[in-house]
Amino acid sequence: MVNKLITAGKILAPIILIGGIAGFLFAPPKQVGYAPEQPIPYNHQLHAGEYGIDCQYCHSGVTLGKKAGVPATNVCMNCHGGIVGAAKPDVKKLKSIYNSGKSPEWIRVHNLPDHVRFSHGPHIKALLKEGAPTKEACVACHGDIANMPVVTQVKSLNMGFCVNCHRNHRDEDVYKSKGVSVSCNVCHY
Amino acid sequence: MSQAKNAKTKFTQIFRSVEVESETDKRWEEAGEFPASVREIMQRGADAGLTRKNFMALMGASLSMAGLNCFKSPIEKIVPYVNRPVGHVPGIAKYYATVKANAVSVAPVLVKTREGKPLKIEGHDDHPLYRGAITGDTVATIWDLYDPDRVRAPQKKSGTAFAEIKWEEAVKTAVSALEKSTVYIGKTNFSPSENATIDRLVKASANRSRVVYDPTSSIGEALKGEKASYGTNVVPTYRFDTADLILSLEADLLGTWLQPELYTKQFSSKRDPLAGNMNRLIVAEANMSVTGSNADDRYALVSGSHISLALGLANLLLPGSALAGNAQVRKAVENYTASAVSASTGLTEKQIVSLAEELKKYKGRSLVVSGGASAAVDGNGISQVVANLLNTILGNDGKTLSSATPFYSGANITSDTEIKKVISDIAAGKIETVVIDRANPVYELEALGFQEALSKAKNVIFLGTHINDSAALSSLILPVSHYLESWSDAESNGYYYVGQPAIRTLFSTKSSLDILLSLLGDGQSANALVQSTSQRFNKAGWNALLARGFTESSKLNTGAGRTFNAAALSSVAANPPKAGGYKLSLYSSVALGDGSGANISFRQELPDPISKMTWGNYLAVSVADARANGWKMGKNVKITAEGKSIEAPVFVQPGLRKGSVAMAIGYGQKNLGQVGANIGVNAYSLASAKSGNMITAGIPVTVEDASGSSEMATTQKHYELARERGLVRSTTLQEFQKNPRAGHEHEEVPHGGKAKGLYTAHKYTPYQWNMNIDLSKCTGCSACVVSCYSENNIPVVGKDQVLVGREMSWMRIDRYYSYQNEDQAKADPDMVDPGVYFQPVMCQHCENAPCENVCPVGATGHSDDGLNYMSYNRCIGTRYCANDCPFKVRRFNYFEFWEGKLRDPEQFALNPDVTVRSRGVIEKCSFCQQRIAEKRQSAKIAGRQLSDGEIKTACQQACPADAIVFGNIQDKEAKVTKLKEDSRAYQLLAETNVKPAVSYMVKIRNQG
Repeated sequence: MVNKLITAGKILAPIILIGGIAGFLFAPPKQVGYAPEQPIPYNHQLHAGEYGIDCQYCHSGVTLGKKAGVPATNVCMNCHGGIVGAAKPDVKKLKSIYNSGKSPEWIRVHNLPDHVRFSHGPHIKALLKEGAPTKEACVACHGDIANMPVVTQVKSLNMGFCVNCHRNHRDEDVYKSKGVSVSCNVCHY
Repeated sequence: MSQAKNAKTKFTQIFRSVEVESETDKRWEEAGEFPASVREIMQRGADAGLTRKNFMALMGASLSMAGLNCFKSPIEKIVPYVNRPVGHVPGIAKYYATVKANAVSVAPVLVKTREGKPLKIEGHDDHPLYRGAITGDTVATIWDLYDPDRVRAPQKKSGTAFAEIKWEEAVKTAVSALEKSTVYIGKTNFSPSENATIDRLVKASANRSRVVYDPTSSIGEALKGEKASYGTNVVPTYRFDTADLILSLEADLLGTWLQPELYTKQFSSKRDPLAGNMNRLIVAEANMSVTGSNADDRYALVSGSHISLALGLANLLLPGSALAGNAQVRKAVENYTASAVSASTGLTEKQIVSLAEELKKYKGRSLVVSGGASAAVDGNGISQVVANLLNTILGNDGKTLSSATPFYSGANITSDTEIKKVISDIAAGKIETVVIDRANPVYELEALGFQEALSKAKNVIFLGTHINDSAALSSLILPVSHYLESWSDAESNGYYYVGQPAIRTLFSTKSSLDILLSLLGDGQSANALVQSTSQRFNKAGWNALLARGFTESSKLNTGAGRTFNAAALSSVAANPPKAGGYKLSLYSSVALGDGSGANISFRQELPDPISKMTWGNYLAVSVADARANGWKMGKNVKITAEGKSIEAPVFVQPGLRKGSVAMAIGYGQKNLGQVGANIGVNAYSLASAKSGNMITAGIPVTVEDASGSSEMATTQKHYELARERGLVRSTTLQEFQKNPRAGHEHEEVPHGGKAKGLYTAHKYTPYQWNMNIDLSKCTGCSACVVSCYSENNIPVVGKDQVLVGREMSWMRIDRYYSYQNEDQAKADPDMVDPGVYFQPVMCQHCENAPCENVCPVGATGHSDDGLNYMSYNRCIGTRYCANDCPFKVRRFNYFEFWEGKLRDPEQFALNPDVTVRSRGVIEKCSFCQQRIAEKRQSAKIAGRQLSDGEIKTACQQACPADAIVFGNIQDKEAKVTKLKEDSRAYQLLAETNVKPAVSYMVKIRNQG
């Protein structure tokens, strides 16, 4: 067994290494354009765009703390529990999941690595203008979600993306007093 | 190591370890700070027959395979709530007030929960008495909840093995067993609901009886003594915050006795030298305890001779006191003259007389306490009786202690005579059913022959969380839920507490109250019973009670002085016993207590505050005895008491008088779980039963050499600072009042007189975090260390790794012994009376941090709020930073401790706000970065600045002594700023210009 492993290792190692380096050098950032298929094809363009439902109706944690939060399924039922869209197959599917006491298993689109800590609250607080719809504050990182039938990641959300914003805007009058920092420990701890 | 050698050649004022050569430090000494793991790995490779070439091929393959992982982001799922509970926001912690009550103490706590899972236990800041005080013991109970070794369902013994059964069947089996003649064996109990239910259960049939015992002799000893002295079944409330002089006779009030967290809070409230508010603590004890090490004056006694000292003091103080005319008292104490007491205790006559003189000065404002396993010399509560006698003579009763709102008024203790009768009834078959409720009499009552008797019982019903030594011999196990899964209540110090569940039961367990009620069969639930009991105490309504967790059932009251019943002294020996031979005292250790939580690895690895030992107990012996017998640290000895003997390694402990030996209880359990079984030896097996009572102090023993030696995983020599002078600074109150800069004599001056830096200073805005630690208040109790482990996901490494110095503790408490001057040191060659100092050391977050400059990858650096941070994802493990750290606070993560190593449900105890470090990185104290971030973010959301005291680090939150203050030094009004400017403040190694963010306050001892 050990000998087979070693032989396999000897053959595989150079192939993977060369392929790996090539991939690393030439592949585009994988995350941009990520638009996985969701268990229920929820349409942001319809809900947030056409019907103009504010982001915070569903993502109610966004001003409170770390997580914007995916809504509890009973929030969907506020409208779909009755006759709204009752005939549509996907709404039927949602209802049957809800009625079985479960929630759909959504696939995370904007997925930061585990060693990065991002808190929505302070960012929305700093970006959201008095009386404006929430989406204006979300656009900077998430793009124009209200016009996306399928949510797609549009920004790389890598460290450069975060740091650029923090570094380029921290001396502007609006943000000066907000304690914007580029210390590593703002996100990594 | 070098400074340890220095100590041999020249006098150093302060030293860390005893100069008795040790066998077991060698592994650590050879290895140095970073024991290379390469040698081990090479050995493993060679054992497996790997050649260098094959090794390279395998490594190359695995590296490139690891690279493959980077191409595809992991797919992560989000499963939201179906119905989100009202007021519950994912990612935001909620705190619930509840109470942890066990056999010996009550602790009001706040439970931090995230997404419905309890994460951390913290002190209850709003409680008027406790004010957030908590013990490490209580903090550690979070790991009890997630202990995979808990009993998960009712079990019935069939043959020699246990088989899981349904609850209905278990209850039915138990109820039918209870129809036979039954004894219900439990420990002291603070819960009014439980006590009433147990009483109902026991009184429902004439052939049932109840036994209540306390093997730690804390409440038990007090209850017996109170009964003898005053005829009451309560333990009084002690007010260390009103006493100007505290005399402790073997009571470890700051470590393990009754409510150490509350007593520490009260004690430290009177350790404020600047305001001139300083009490005096005098301790007379045989073993070196946490309390003794904090004493202003400590008298090392021969084991078990504290009774002689107390009676000697009573003899000297009697004339002119309230009891002067009492012939019975005079007769009991008259032979306890200073010279006779001197021969018994080992103290000089002068010491005894001057102690009496001093007590006389503090009449009505002093407090004498005694108790605990190391005080139980007769099993009848004599230590409490003599404390009561002294408090009556000094007029303290009703002033500094009171029974009007008692600490304990629960189930009454059963005398050893009655327990012996019950045991013989079980052995004779007169009692067929034995119910053991959350106790371990097989282990604890070994001296009384409990185990042999138990084998005669037909039915043994065990209620508990783990299969301990008693459960292993039972026929039916009813698993009890953790307190965080149960409804419960407690009454203590004039408060009524209600315990609410913070999570649904993880396993098929039931709360103790629910089990008792189901045995009664009246269908009531624990919740309903607690609600109805609470109405007796609570007027504010159920929800208000739940929100606070407690209610004042009666005003804390001092009451009037009681009349001491002199007949309580009738059992006192006419003459003080003579010293001679070896005398053994048992004691509860800070880490393990009574041993019921010994399956928690964090507890096993918590260094003892005094000896710094982890993973096991030992026989503490005096320096004089070690010298005389040529014992080295770790030498195995055989200890024999009344024909029973056990073997244990020797630990040479300064502060012990020749002939005194001591051993911790709680170790040496044969069953408990994967972690706790068979660690150390069972000290209870040496308890004396000759008199009919179980005696745990002053036991005459013989100690002989046994073969070989044992490895001692003590951390006392690990991570020493570069030098010893001027690190811990201390002075006396009298010196301090003359000179506010007293204690700084050993301050080093930088070369050339003024420290210069190479780098430009950092700019901080608007926050710069600093910490202040008051060494006058710190008692070394180690609650902070436990809290740090719990908050920061710090792994336990095990005995093998501690032996080579790889413990991961982010904060350690350095313990030093010292003498004031060379004469004093020469006068005490046997180190009976050294000064003891504690110094918590964590990352000092230096402004000019040496570690930051040497990191080749910029993984550690300085933030604009004054933190020295670690980015684990950048760290490549060169360990340059740790090498450069003058405080030795950086820890290298050698092995993978979490991934794949956790047993379900242990993972729930991990704090999701702190990165779980993998192997190969350096980690260290972050000043609880996650707590700072949380508060900072919520302040930003609210659009305000942080206020002083808003952020509390985990260590600060847990500190019962209020020794740790954390805050923003840029705020001129902040408490931490004021403290840093105080004349007592200093920084470690300040002359090197590293500018630590942690400052310490000179320790002040009050020499009277």
